[in-house]
Amino acid sequence: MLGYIVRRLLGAIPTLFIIVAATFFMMRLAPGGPFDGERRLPPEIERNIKAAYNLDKPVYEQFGIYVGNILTKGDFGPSFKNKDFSVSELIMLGAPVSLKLGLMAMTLAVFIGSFLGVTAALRQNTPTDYSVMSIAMVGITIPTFVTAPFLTLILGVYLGWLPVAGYGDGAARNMILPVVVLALPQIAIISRLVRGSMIEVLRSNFIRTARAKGLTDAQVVWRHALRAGLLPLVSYLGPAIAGLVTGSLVVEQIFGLPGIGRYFVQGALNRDYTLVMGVVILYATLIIVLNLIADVMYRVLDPRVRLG
Amino acid sequence: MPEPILQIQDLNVRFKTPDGIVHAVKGATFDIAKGEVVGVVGESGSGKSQMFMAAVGLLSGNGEATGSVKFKGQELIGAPQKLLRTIRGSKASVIFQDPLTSLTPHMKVGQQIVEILTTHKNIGQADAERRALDMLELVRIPEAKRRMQQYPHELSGGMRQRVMIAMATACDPDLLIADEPTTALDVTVQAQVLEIMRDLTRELGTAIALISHDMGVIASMCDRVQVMRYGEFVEAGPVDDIFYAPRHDYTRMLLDAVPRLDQPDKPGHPVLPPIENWWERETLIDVQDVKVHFPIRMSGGLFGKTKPLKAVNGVSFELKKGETLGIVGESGCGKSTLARAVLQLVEPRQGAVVWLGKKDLMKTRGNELRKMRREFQIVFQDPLASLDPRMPIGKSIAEPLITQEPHLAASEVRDRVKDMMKRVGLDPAWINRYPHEFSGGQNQRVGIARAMIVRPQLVICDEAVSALDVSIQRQIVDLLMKLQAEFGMSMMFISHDLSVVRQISHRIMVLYLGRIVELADREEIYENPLHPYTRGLISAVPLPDPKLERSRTRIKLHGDLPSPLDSRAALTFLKSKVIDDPDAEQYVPQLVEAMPGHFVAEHDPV
Amino acid sequence: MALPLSQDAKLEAMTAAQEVKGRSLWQDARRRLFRNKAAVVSMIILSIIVALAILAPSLSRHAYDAQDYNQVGCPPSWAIDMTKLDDLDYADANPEAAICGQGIVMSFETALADWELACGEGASPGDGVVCGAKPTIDDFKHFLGTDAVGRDLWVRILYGARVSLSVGVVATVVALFIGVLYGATAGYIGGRVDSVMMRFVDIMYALPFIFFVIILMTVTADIPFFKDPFNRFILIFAAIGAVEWLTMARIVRGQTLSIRRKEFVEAAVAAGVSNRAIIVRHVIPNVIGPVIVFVTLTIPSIILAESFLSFLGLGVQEPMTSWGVLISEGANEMETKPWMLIFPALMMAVTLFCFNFIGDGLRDALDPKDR
Repeated sequence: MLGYIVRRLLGAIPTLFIIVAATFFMMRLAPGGPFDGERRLPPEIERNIKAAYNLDKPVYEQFGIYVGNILTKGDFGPSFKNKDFSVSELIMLGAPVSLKLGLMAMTLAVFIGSFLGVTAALRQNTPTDYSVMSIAMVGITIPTFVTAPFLTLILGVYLGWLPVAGYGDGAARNMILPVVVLALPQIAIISRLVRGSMIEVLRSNFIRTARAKGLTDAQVVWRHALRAGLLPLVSYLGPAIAGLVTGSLVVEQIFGLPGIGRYFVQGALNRDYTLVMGVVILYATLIIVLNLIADVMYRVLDPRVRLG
Repeated sequence: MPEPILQIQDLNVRFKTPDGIVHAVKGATFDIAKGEVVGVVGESGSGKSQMFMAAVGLLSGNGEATGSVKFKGQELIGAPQKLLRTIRGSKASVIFQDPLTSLTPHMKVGQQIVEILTTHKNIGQADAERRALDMLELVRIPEAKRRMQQYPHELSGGMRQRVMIAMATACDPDLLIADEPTTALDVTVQAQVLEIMRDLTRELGTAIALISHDMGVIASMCDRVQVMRYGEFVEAGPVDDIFYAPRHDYTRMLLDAVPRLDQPDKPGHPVLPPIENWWERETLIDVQDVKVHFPIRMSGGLFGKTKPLKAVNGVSFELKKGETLGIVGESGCGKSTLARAVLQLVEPRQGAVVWLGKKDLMKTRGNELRKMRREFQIVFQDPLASLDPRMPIGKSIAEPLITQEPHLAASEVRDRVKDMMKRVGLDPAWINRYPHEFSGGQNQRVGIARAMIVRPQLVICDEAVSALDVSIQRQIVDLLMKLQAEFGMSMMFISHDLSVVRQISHRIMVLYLGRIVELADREEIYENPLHPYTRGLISAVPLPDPKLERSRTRIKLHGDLPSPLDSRAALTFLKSKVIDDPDAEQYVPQLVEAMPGHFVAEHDPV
Repeated sequence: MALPLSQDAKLEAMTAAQEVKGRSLWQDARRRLFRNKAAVVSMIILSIIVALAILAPSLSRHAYDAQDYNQVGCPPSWAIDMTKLDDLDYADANPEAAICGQGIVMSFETALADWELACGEGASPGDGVVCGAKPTIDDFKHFLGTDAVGRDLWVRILYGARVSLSVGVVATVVALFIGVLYGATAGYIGGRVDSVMMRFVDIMYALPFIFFVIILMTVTADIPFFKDPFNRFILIFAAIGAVEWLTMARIVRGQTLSIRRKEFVEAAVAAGVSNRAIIVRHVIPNVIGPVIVFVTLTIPSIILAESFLSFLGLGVQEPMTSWGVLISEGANEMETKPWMLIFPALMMAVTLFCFNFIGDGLRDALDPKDR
């Protein structure tokens, strides 16, 4: 098990490197720099600024300096646009917000999604099943940026139950809408996934054996079916995280939450290279680590998978 | 007359399917008395399993049962689930066919037995564990204490089935429903499992309903037999009457179709013509020291390591023109891999396969090999999987022909395909139909036609009849013998079923863990087996003859097939030369010619 | 003299004879698909939407970029009671409807005056003036209302459909092309090549790929070449297609691998059939099913991705539009002009529903487990 984890982590190093390099060169090779577009600076000052940010050096040298700084000092450089902050500081400010949002949405999605999925599977081809699946279809089809304004319109504007936007220092009232909006598509996907796998498990031979033992339906489901039925959910967690990250870009934008997703979008629009790089590295690392955790969990839950 | 445990009265089972209602069981009526073993035989789709599933309320959701099933006088059809639950597992329990998929994969086997005890008996966890351990020992599981903590996939097939038996008998049931309990097992393991079932139930006075398609198993186990076809009983009676004085045509046909180890040439079927002057005949293929070693990734260490799985480990033999060589062995002995190595279908292979004394196929590559392929063809085990589902059968049959003889005109291809279809017993008008429209036996005929269309000199049948019902099996074996008489090709007939192999083969080769243990003429090997493994194998086969079965004493092989990754395993029968290290290079038992034409591997004295 | 037939043509000719007709799996699947009500209804609705998108220019007299200055941000015309425009109570209760109603009348009267002047009785059409039919007031109604700068919403939704649907289809084709080629190669060659190729896919999977699309769209925004709307369009296709090909490659590879291991392929190898013929005759026909299903499910997810980019302001540029752009604009104005959000969102949702239902229906129809 330990060998497996170490091997996976070693394997993640080239992955991360490729991601960093690709992002870096893509941004640097394109025309238009962070200091264009503002009022024209005198050439000297511009030269000084570029020198200060190492922008006057060849691109590969800039890349070397950048990677060197991260590895030796853990320094992601200064933000080009938010002049008083370093990238690390900005990320430290934004990450807790995004993390809180993501974790809450994930938890909600996993619990509600698997509950709905299991319920639908147990009542296959009944009105309960059909209505759960129809709702799931709606959840998959309607994108976050439609549900967000709609729910805001209804719950925030017309009914006035919840605040329309803003972080409010993470108050529960402020978090409800963003979390729900972010979780909805995942709830839909998870419930469909779980329903499918539960139906398959419920048809399997060992469930017939469990029933032949004279166990009650509840015992059959809890002890025998559930664990096997939820396994596909564990392997879905990786893609789910990627989905949440994508969703959070929109949700943070719409609800005006000061998370790193918003930094990313604004950083990309403003050519704030270092900030975008920092966010990409953070997200990529997060996704790699969470994928690893999901894989390890899968191996723990399914004794048939050999640890190797 | 003892009081009946189970009384089935006019039981009907129907399934709703998208294609309409399927009437699976049509008015079945019979009793099972206390302590009695009743066999229910029938071919696939006869409704024999569904009848019992209906009895204990385990039909799938689209099934519906009507009629009456009384268990110790209590009506079960339409009974509330609550009542059924108190009977299921405690008073009437079930053993299913496939022990791997029938045990919950993520639950330790000990816990699976404990669960049934705590559900039905008023005992605590500790007592239940003690009882579960006793049960595992009763079904002769070695190191039972350690096994309790293992998961089903960590046990061998035979051991899993013994766990199933332990589980099913844990609560001393009055009735044990055994649904094809040994069909998925090797014959030596089958013998062990049947013996355990017999002993255990005799001790406890349990009645058994034994559902099986295997007349040998039925003959060796049952007091009474019910013969079922298309959801109806066609005949019922004491086991001796059924076997020695069958009244219904279907029973007679069934008994006639069953291959018998002790009677290879039955009247009314093609007789295998002997090979005259074996030594003077031309050798078709000369197989020399063929090895197939697959690298297997092992866990452990930072990067893992690989170990060779020696699927085929130095096999040499000759096959004469027109001869059939039977290859038998249990699962994992390398018989299918050997076939694929001979046909150059598997990598990495070593050794030599010399074709007609001239060409080493192992050294032939690319186009040259492709052209040579018209001479050697293969018939697969699963008739449906071996045909492209999206291709009409005519195209499948024609494919080798147009590949090997591209100059043929389309009309001639069609004529040759139709002609071959006739020869294998298919209506040529079906040329445009698809595999899913046919039965298994018909699809297997298509597979044979495809192999034969290029008139090859060698046909390898890889478990070609194993997936078929006995009556169909017999037809296909007869067909192969007829085709051999017609075209004179040589055959390698691979099967785990010794009786079938004996019917069709001139010589027989027994494989054990990738090596030959014995190779001899078909009469010789059955009448005078020299190797202990061959003896055990032959002795384990149940004969469809109840009187003989009652008087037989069996030579037992203990334990299961050892892991082929353990190098010591190869010397199971030559313990005196074992070096006690699983990774060591071990002594290679040599094949000795004990009598002219009878080869046997070195082994410890019996 | 007849031309020598290819092997495959020979196989065709051989079985084309008039023997008992077989029932192929495709026929089975089609029958099952047409029995699926949701899928059939979806196909009908989708065809209507596609037809509307194709015919968009001739379906309304409004141009997608024409601004009606008299009617800025007006609700759907059926929400305005034209008969009560002079009723003061009505105007008090519905000031916006009253203003928009007056706007319709004003636009109409202006256009009518122009028409009379140029083409009316006694007027002689000048050079280059083409006289159309006489304007009626209905021509100036905006069936689904107008947006914040007075453009007809219905026409814009139809033009958005053109962009969104074509992005969906073209990017799927891009994904299909790369994915099938890559996946089939990896799956068919197998071994070391396969593990290296799939390792690369795994690496790409490890990142939220939408990031790369966003970065790509932003860094190219200033390149003159990509300022051309058509080129930008192509870039969107390419960028999204480049994200989606990964999944396609995985699916195709998995299918190819599993079919390679099937006995009927082994039988073909044993018969001496060449690799090329095996791929053409056995692998491709058996991989097509799952790929079709995946394609129908990829189109909606690409439409979503495009609208996501447009929503962030990175998609198509004004005055061109897409559903994502319209929804984004609608979301900004939803408190006062909800129709700007509701109609585009509804249109997109219905389309995505249809694709998903068809995809699910196809999967059920082609699923071998059902047989």
